[in-house]
Amino acid sequence: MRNRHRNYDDEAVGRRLADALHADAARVGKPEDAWARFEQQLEIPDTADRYDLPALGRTRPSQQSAWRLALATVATVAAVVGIASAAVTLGPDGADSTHQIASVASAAAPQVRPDSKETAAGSAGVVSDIAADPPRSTATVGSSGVIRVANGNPSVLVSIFEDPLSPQCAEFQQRYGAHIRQQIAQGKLAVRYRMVDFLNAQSPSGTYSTRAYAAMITVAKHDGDMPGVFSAFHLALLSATHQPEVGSASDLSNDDLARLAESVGASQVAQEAIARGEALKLAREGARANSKALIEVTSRLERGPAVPTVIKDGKAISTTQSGWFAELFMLGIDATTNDND
Amino acid sequence: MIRSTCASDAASLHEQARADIDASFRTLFDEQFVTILRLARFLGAGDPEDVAQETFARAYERWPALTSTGGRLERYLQATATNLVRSQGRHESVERRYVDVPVSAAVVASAEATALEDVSNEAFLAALNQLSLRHREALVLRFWLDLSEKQMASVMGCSIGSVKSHVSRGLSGLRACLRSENELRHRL
Repeated sequence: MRNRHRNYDDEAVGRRLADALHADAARVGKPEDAWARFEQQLEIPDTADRYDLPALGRTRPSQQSAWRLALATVATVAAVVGIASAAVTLGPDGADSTHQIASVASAAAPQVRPDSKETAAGSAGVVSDIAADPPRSTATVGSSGVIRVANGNPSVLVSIFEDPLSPQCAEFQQRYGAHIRQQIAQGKLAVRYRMVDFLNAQSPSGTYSTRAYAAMITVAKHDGDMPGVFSAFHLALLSATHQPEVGSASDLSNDDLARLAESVGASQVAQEAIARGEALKLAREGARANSKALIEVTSRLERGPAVPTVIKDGKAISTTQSGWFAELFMLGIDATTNDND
Repeated sequence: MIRSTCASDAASLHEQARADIDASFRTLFDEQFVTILRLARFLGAGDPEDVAQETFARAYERWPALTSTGGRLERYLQATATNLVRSQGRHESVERRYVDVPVSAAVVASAEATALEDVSNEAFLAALNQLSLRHREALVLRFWLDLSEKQMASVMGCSIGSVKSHVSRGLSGLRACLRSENELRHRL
């Protein structure tokens, strides 16, 4: 497929150059230690300790090679800028999210019922907890079990990996959940929730993570178009009030999950579907696919695959870095094209 | 009801997934490392192996995304190496211009081989090194890697029109270099 050249001279020179290049290239062989050097440079962490899930705020001190250090420096500078804008974006009531979460979840208030939009909007002033989460977000389930929560088509899209049994995920939602829901409700952020079920074995039933994921899928599928219902259910599952403790004597049965769904305004159809375990197969397959994706994306991170993990544009975001949330929006360019559901 | 997935299942699943990544990446590394190393060297990188290592480190970082796009891995590697050399070149080009050491001395390992063919190769490579980086890129991608104009455009990050112009001007430059060298030799 060689180009046609303008004249004979060019062609002859090109041919001669090709010969010279090929002859010279052959002098350079592959260095024997190329792969060894490469592996050393990567410092791939030992697999054994990467499965000790999860670690919010527990990043090992870095031992990076020079160029990765340079990257980190850039990120730090960006994060510092991010802090400043977080204050602007989130406003003064952004900080107190811990309390809000517990009370919204435990109240399970009928006035949150999103099928009466007027009421919910009208009572927002009274029930101040809901201010951070105006019921405008809707949820859809992809064929692979990914749950997308959004209001319209925002330009910023992130994937969040969680295990329903993980206390670190609950902690994450307590810190950032209100911010996340607020941005979703305002149509600025779309979240793809991708659950994993690493922690099944640590639940009394041995299946809690998968069943909780299945319940989320069911609510998103049947009631996803009822604004706020999925968000409220997800919030409740990861609240201090309802999330089973790792290693405790009992967790939530499917009937319990159905009742919890009812308390946040899910439909009768969804409740029944949860009780009979409708989406278990999809949850199991989805969790497997999600684990695989999580591992692939986080394979180069020091902390390895862990939940919660936030991914934007195919890259894991360091949520232990202050300012990360505001940064999502500062750098949010055309993220919708990254949606490979 | 569902089968309970125990932690060891999950761990082995993850190790399997990771092993898959590593196996496919290792294959690419073994196949392409030397090509990228040679490319970096032809483009005049100060430390070609460093460029090659860095190129693969970047590919590894983006591996899941790269493999899902399919079939463009070579091009990605070539483009990354080219860009790395370019950004190095910004620092080094000034030195090169004023330090009167023929780059070809480093490029051509052995001057012992005195066959006419080799001398001639050396002259070509020395002439190549006189060219601007874009022209050198164009000629190396075109005549050594035998890329099409479209492929070159994606590696060099420019339009097909620019590719054509870089090749044509590169060749003219090469001819001019060789001619002046010949004249010099005749005069001596």
